[in-house]
Amino acid sequence: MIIILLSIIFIVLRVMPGDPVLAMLGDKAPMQQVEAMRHQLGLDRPLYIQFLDYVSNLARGDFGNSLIWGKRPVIVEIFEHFPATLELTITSMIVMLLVGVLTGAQAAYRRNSLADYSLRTYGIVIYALPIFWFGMILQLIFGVYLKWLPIAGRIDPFLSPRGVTGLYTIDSLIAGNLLGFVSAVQHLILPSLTLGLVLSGIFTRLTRVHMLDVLRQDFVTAARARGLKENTVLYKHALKNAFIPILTMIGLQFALLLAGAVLTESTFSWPGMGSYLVERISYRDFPAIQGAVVFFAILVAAVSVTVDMIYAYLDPRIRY
Amino acid sequence: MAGKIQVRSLSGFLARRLIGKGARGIEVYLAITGAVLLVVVISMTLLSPYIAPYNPIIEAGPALQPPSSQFPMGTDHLGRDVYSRVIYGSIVALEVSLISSLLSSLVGTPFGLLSGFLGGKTDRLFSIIMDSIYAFPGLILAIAIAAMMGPGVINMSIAIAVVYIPTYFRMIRGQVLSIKEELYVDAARALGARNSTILFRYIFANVIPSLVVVLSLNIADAILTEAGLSYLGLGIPPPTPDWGFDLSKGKSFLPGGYWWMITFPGLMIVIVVLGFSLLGEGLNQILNPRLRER
Amino acid sequence: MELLEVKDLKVYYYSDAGLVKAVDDVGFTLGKKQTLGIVGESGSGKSTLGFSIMRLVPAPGRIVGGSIFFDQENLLLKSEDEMRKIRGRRIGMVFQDPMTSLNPLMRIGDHLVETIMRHQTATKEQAMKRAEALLERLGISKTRIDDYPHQFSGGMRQRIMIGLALALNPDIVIADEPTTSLDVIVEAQIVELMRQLKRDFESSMVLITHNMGIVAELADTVVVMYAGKMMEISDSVSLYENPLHPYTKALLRSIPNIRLTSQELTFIPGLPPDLINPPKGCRFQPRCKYAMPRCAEEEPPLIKLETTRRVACFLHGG
Repeated sequence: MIIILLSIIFIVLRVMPGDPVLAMLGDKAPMQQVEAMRHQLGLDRPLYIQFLDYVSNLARGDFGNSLIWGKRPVIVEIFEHFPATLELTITSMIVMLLVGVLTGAQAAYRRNSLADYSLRTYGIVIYALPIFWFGMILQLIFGVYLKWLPIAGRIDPFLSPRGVTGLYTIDSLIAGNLLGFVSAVQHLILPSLTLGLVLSGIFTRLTRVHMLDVLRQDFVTAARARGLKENTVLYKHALKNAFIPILTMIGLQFALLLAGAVLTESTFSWPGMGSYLVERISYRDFPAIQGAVVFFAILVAAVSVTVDMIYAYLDPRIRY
Repeated sequence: MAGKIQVRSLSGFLARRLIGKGARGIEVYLAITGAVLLVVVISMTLLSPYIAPYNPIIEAGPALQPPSSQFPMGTDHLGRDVYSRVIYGSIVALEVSLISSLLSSLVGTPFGLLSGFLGGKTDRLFSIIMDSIYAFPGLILAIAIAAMMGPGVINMSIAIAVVYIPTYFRMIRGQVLSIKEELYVDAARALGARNSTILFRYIFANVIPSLVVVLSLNIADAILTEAGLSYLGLGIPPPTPDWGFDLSKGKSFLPGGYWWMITFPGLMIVIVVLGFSLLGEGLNQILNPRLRER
Repeated sequence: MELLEVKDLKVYYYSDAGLVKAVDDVGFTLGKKQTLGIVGESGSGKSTLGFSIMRLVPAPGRIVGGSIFFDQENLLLKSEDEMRKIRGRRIGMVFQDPMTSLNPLMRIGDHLVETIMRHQTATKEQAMKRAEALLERLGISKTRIDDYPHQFSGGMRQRIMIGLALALNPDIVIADEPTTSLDVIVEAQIVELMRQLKRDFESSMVLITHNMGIVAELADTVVVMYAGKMMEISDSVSLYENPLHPYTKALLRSIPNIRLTSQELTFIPGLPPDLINPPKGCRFQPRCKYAMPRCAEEEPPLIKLETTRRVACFLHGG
């Protein structure tokens, strides 16, 4: 499947109407310059050769070099920006799951009550909010008016930790830099709330449906018949079973997380992959754009495979 | 005697669902709320020149004014009336989302039909292509396409359309496959009577309701994507009023506490998206009632 | 007072289609170490009756009237918390389908340990030991304590279910169709197991089933239910030798018996009654071949014929 994706990216970026070179240099660039650039990028060669080069380069990890500033290898620049996105995505996913699954479970448990309808409405409404707008509203309230939390960047510049993983929270902890850790966490709160809450709407509804299914099953009644406490029945028995199909959805929703991350990064000036992509688009840095998009594709594929493996591990019916 | 295959007429189908099974209250309310919101929004769009107090692309007053009786939503950094810009902004939003949804459905549906019909290698090939696109983050794909194609309503519509083609493909293909199975059972009874026309009418009757639901939800999503693209600078060039674009401009003024530039356009987006979402969800519950929850 | 005394129990389901009178005025007693069989067709209300003893009637059902005295206390007056202490500890339940009644994600050892630790103060090790002992008692090797439900056969799963019900030595075990989802050979093994355990654990049992065969083997007293009402209640010997109610007779005659080569296999004509609008008078009347005009007008009361026998049928008085 990754091959298909890569091919599609190739098609989009080179074949579709819209000449990348002209896009980069502008309509009025002199012919020579256009031709020179075309040659430099290898865009004047037959398409199939371009494609072969493209695939073989990627396989070797060669994403080409950026066209601007230091002309550094794109792959290096990507890895500089990736940890920021990773940190944001992980924390957002935690928020998304905690809020989504718990609200969904409660909604299922209190089926047809006011709480159920309210939670379901929450799910639909929150998903309809544009992520960047929601982020800005949060910034207004918590950053500008209440002044509780920062609204841009990953960390107080003076407290920036020396990188090991690139994840500022972990790096500060490793370095024993408590102030840095606190600053990193503070900066993470609003962006992950933004992304996590909006996407939690999907999980509210999803969890609710699966929980309703599970709550109907015999082993739940049997658990109650053994006098187990309601919380035990609800969480240890019912939710655990409902979680497995939810897990597969996480894999699918990861793409949404990435897309949302691009918007969130832009809103919070978060220097991740999303910001990188958007920035390079404005500079017409073709290799960087291609590299970033390809990287996203690889990410999605990798997560998909990982989720499948986790699923197989968690369900004892598959394991044994 | 040739057996008769029951072909449900569309209106009969709808009538049966709405009246016969007794649509449960909440779904109908959802759909109605959505429909009402949409009627309001669409009329606002169509009547924009008449209800907008000012020209949205011309300076109408002092810049960065908070909401007042003269400017109910304040003015932006160029002194333009935010209220008027919000009203006119719906034109682009609806244009792009409607065109792209139409495109997606027009491309996705025939491919879905073909794929479901033919099966075999063609089906596998199409399916894997569509699945790959579907799995990829939509916005990022749209960004890539829009970046290469440049700004403009048509280009944006195409960019967004590509993202949603797989949605229609999968739905149609799924319907075709399940109908194919049903028909093999009926075919024995039908004694080979006019298979293709029957298939067509069968599909038609079953597909239209789902299509409407998907379209509605698609448009909702497309509006969000369009806003996202404009926000990132890949949309309609200024000075055309566009909610996403206004949001990106308003962002710079946020730290100064100029809240009205972003709050109102954003709210509009939410209202329109909710309108289509609720309509789609409500219709979905009505037309495809879930198995009775005991 | 006996261990369990049910009086005038009414359990109704408030469904969208209407008010379903699943259990209507049912009463019986159960003594220590006794086994009560509750028989009837599907829809007779017997399962609902079983669930109501534990107050586990699923929504939209509700217990609307009557009393259930367990150990001299009315269970219908207890709080949910108090009920939870009784369930599993003093009243246990065996469910019909052992595949769906066990949590597929939990090891069977954990099922047992969880129940034991919930009701008694014990360390995990102690609970594990008891769980292992219990498994051995049930004929399952204790090395399998870490296995998951799907790794067992149907018969073994049912043994585990029975073990779960008996783990805390309850006073009463309610068995809801315990052998219905098992094949005949396994069924015989389970019945034998239940007989032994009943003796060893000294618990009373409420056996709910439509299988007249196992009722004959295990029950001391039998309640025959139809359409939510009691048709006959009798000690099992008398019931089988001399059934009084026409429905009981029909039930007994519909059991296949390969030795009776000359007798036709009879079935009860007609359909089960609509519990939302039950027939006027005796509920069995539309399908009863002895029906008299009176049967369609008045409902026959439950009359005591002998110390251990009561019937609701005008053929026998009333």
